[in-house]
Amino acid sequence: MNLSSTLPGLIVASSLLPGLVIFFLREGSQFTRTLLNLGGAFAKLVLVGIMIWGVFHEKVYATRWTLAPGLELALHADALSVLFVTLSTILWFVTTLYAIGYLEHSPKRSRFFGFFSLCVSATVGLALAANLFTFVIFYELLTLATYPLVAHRGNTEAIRGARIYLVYTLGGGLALLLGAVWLHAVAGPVTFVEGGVLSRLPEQTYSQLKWIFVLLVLGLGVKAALVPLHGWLPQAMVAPAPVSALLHAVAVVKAGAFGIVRVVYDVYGVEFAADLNLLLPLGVMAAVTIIYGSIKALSQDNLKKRLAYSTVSQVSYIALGTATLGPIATIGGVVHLVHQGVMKITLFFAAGNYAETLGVHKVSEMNGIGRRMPGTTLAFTVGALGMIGIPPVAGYVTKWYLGLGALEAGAAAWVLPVLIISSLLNAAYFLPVLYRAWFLEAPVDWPNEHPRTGWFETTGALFWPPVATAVLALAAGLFAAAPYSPLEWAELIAEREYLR
Amino acid sequence: MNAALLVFTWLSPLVLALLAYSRKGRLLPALATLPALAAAALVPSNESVEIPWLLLGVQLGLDDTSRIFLLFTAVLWLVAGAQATLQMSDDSRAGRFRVVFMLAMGGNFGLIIGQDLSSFYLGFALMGLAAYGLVVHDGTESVRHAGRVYLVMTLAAEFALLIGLLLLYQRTGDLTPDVGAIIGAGNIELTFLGLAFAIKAGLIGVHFWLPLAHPAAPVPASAVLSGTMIKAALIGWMRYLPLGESALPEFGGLLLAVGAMTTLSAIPVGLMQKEPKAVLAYSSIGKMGIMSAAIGLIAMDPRLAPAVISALAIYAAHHGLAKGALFLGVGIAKDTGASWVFYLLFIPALALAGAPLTSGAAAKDILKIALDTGYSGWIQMFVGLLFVSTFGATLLMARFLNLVRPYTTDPSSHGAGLALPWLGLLVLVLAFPLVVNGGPPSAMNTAIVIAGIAIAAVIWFYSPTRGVTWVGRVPPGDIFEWILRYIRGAGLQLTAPLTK
Repeated sequence: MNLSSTLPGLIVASSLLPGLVIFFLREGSQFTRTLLNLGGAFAKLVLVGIMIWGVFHEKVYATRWTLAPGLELALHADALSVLFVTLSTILWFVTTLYAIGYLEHSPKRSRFFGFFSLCVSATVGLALAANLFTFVIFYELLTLATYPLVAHRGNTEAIRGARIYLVYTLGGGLALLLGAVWLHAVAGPVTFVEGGVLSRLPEQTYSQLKWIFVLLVLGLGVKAALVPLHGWLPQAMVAPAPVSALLHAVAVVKAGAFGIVRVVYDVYGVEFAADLNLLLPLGVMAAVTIIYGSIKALSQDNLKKRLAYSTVSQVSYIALGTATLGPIATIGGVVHLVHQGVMKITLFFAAGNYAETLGVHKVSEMNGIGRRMPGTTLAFTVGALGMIGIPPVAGYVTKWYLGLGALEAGAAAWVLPVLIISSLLNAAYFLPVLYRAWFLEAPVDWPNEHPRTGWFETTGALFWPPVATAVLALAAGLFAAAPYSPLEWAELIAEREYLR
Repeated sequence: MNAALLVFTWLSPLVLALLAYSRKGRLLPALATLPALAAAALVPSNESVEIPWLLLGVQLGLDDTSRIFLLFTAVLWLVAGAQATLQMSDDSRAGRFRVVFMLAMGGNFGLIIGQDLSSFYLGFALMGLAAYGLVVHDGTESVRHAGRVYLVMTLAAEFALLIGLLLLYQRTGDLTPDVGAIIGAGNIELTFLGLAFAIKAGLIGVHFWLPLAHPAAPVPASAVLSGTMIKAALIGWMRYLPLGESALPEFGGLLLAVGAMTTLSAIPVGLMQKEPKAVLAYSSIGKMGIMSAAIGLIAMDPRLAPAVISALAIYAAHHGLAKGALFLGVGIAKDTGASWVFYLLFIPALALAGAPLTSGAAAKDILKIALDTGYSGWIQMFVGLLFVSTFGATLLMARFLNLVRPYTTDPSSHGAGLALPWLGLLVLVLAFPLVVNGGPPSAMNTAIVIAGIAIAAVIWFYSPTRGVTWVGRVPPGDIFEWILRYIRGAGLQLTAPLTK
């Protein structure tokens, strides 16, 4: 088998095929389902491992099918796609374990895990997409695969949240599609190339290119939850915790942010985008989102809602880094794709554990929870400190590079205040939670405590995932300068974007 | 071997903190300091170990100055840790206390031996945030208020430091810049670094958190807060100002003036306090004012650098040990109620006042001798300030002893076992002038101390309460508390978001 032409396709298939089979499994066949889930996740891990090694050594992996002349479904691996694929593969693996534990006794598990796998396949597909056409296909597939997950619980609140999600994302998808078609008409098939492809177009197309950029960013901005396109995200937190984790850290929000990175760097080219004066508006939009999300998070008592607004804010760090010209800021933005994912998934896992184990959904119910659930709360603490940017958790690396990049680009006068204000606000909505959890007295009874089943504070399947991702978040910051760290990989990406 | 010692200095408190929660770990706070003590004694100066994969690239090492800092810091953490173990045995939250205590210790050691920007930043942030857990340990409302103020100011200092270090790194491109590379800082950089360290040092205007936080913490924590942690400011200035290489006349003059004002204002406000620990806190502010003013002198006149920097390290060591002994003594006085504790408290009190033949006199003499390497009106002024400070410190110590006296009415000799580490620290305070020889007693200094004692004695014996209407007029936290009362009077809640 020739890996160089099949590996990207195999990586998508490794979750797609098990997912399709799972749909047809009977509800009771738990063993087969778990085997398929974990088998697929493990196979993907191995395949991605091979790909990381290959891309680092400048090997080429590309899978393509020509659908019609000029329309090619193409997957390929470059440094940026490998970063995103690795992130989603590792976090998918952990989330699958978590979801198996979380949904142990709930109905409709085959449907759930089927869509769960499709969701990850779509994410990996858009990460590996070699051209805009393929990207759009997977982007829309992601919308459709996620809707049933948000609606999974089936109560009115869930249906309502899912409907809002669908309206927003289909609208965004339409804008993206329009932009992509228009761009196809202007420039022909658009392949992602490091350094961008549009700068060679004649100057009379520039005004069209600007409008196309607006459409593309609007379409991507919905999933990336840029203000004012963010309205669906806080509503979608009605989904079960593993879905929220996936939505916020791996798939949906990340797909939007990743798309913005792709469009700016590999379609327009960052310098060309700067020449067209497109970066500053994007940067301002990101800055507004960062501050707005944090301010909204302050007043949320529902823990998952607070985390959702925190996502709104944090994901825009990626857009901010992208909108700041220069390799250092690029590193800061791209590395946050990984950092935000690992930290936020930890927080959502922990929130899920509180809800599932003790029935705690609100910040105001979290008094003394650190004593009852020390492992989970320790993981939550790591995630929260990372979000604020306290070393050695990963977040400080992002802040360091974004700040440095802003200085290099001469944009420090507005980027640095945004970073500092956001950090202060993050501290203002996370530290009181930690204070409650560790320093206040626990209530006599928890809202809805499940009886202890084992040696741990909760079941093993719920306990280990947040601990594992917290360790990852800590390691990403602690060993930031080590080989193969997210930071090193982001440096590789920036190097390839700016030197070609 | 040396490399391992340096690594373990940092690593042992952080790793052992994970084990310190259970009661079995109650000796760990003291034991975790041993590698630091060994490193201070054994690792030769200017030997360093590079760990390029850690954080952004770490370099650990010691020079002649940081060795002194590490030595007295480790001694004080050792004694405070041992006292905490002895005195908090019946506190149900002692496990949590040990964990944050050791995290703060790890941060403190890290910022002393870490020679690169990222480990200094990590140490500064970790120490500051972990110490929040020490400040709010008792959990009463006044303590929580102190904790909030402490936290806000600590975060402000941390983010100011981040901006300062970003500017420094952007300018030098070096994570371990030497003094030569630091020359040429812009005003913005100096402002942010200056602000970060001014907050940590408790200089006037940003000092108000200190007299709230230091008395709020349990005694062993107050000892390290006042004895070692605020000295991080001194280390910061020594490391990130171009001391000895280039003159910064404006910045140095400003620091001298602010330091002098800090000392001059802390004395009267300290005398008005009703709590012995609050008196000690203001005394710490006063001493940090002196040390900061001396840094200002060096910044104005680079010729002073090597001698005055060494002298300041010795001064800091003296202050750390004496202040630590005073704080710990308050706790032992309250726990035992024994009058022998009161009499032994004269040892550190006289040392802090700078009485002849004590560590205070030795430290001051060495500082004066070092200042002889330069000659200017500013130095004369500073020496004048030293005399005022001696007089003020004598009165403050008399006031302190006066406030401790009521706790110690039991004439029996019980409780010595509880105070063993503290007694060891007193021996070190006594032995200090034997190791650090400052020359024969200065007549001027002796006269000032005697005058102070005489005035204090007159007040003590003739009008302990009558006519002393100024006591308690100024609350701990002075201007800030007044502003806060005014704002609350106007119906606004300044710290509302942090209480949610």
